Amino acid sequence: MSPHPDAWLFLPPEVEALVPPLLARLAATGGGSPDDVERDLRYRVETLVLEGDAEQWKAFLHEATRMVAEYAGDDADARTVLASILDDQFLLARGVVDLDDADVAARRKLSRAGAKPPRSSQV
Amino acid sequence: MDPSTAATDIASPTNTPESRASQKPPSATRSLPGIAYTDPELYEQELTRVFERAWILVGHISELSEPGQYVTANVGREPVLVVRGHDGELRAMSNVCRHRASTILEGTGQTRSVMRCPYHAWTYELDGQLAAAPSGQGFACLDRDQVALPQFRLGVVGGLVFCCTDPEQMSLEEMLGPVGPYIEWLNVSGLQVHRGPEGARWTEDFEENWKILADNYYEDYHVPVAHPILVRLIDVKETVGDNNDWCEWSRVPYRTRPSRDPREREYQSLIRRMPGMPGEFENAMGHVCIWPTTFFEIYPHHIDMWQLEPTGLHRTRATTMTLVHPDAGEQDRRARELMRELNVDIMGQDVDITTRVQRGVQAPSYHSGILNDEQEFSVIRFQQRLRELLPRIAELEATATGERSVASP
Repeated sequence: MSPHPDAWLFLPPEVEALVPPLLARLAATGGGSPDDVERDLRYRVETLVLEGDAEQWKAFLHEATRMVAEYAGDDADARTVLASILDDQFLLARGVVDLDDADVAARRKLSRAGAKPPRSSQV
Repeated sequence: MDPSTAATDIASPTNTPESRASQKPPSATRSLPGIAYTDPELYEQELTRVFERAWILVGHISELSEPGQYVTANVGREPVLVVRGHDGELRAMSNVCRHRASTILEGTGQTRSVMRCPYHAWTYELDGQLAAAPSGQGFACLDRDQVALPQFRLGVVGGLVFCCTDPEQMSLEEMLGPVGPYIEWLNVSGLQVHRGPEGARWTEDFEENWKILADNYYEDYHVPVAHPILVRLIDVKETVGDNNDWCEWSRVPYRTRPSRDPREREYQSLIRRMPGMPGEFENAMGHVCIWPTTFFEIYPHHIDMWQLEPTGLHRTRATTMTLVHPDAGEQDRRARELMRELNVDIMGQDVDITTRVQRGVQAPSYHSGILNDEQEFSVIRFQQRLRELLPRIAELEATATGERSVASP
């Protein structure tokens, strides 16, 4: 099923409030100013909230999932919370778009990073 | 109250996630049982123990500036009127003629020098005392000195006029808590009631129990799902506010990014702060919730005040009043008009939701839901007050069974 290009993503404030700073914490170990990284992420996420479609949102989720999966720092809290939020977003996205094999693979990475979906939604 | 103190308090809102968590009773994280929205006995308790004991907003002080000017409202089942007397005093009293119980005045307006019942013309002074009854000689025992419209408590805060029929109820100021100084701070008293095509009040009837509509307004958890307009216009995650057990205010900034919707973009281009409106509203809107069902939507350019009134177990009336600045110009008028159009769309989305909920709460399989401690915090608080005031809820919660929405561990 293809999503309507203008489908509303119904992204909760949690996404705007938590994802950019948590991603910025993970990105901080890779160099660059955490504030600059967070500001850029906030702008990107706000754009997705206001104007994004389902495919754009999934692309962002994949990018964020890669950062979580490849993170080698010691901020385990940020990694775990982020993994849970991102996995929830994959599960919620099914309300507007079907998940494909790549999405399922991404969810497995998030599960290994600490996401704990309910039993019936595990991958 | 010292305005500088109010401004300091308002600049430092206290309903942070941490303080919300500390106010939340552990047992209140579940919603009211579905049967609480359909039970006739509970409905009777709600009328007597909630609405007939509450401070109910009846009007704005600008509607009551001259002797004989009046407003009417309902406090539960009691029709009330507030009128300015020839002595300059404002009085709240029953709007029910002591003869055969007709209401005396309707809506808002200006009486002559007395108030006359339209049924048999019993005529009352503006202080509520019976002045005369037609064919007075025909009454075997009518002592006019003993007949008067019962007087009720009246409170005025920041230009808003409230009435309470319960002599034991706490003071208006105590009930409002932080909302009282907030209203003063907003300079509401300097505004005036806008008279639209429908007059000074605009009413709409809904086919749902009043609590379903109130619950819906008390939370923003549904906003990203149901109201794309609001998500594009305001940044919910930046909401600040304050509350006590009964009332709350909140303020949320507008998005700075232009909306992709042309009508919303036009609205964004017109937002301008009214004279007297605090600088915090330069690019923000706000909400006020006053126990039990009075709500304000505060825009930089005007304020909408509306309240829900149960008119039946499954029937609710919403009455809206709009406050504008006396010097509002064409730009403000257009901003108000656009916001009203947007609100009509938003209200339609809410009606779609609440209609579904009205059906759902009657389902035998539904007991109650789990509430979000953050984004449904105000619903938790609102329903906790209802539990404290309405013993019938405990009876319903004890008997409501058939929980099937939560799997066993």
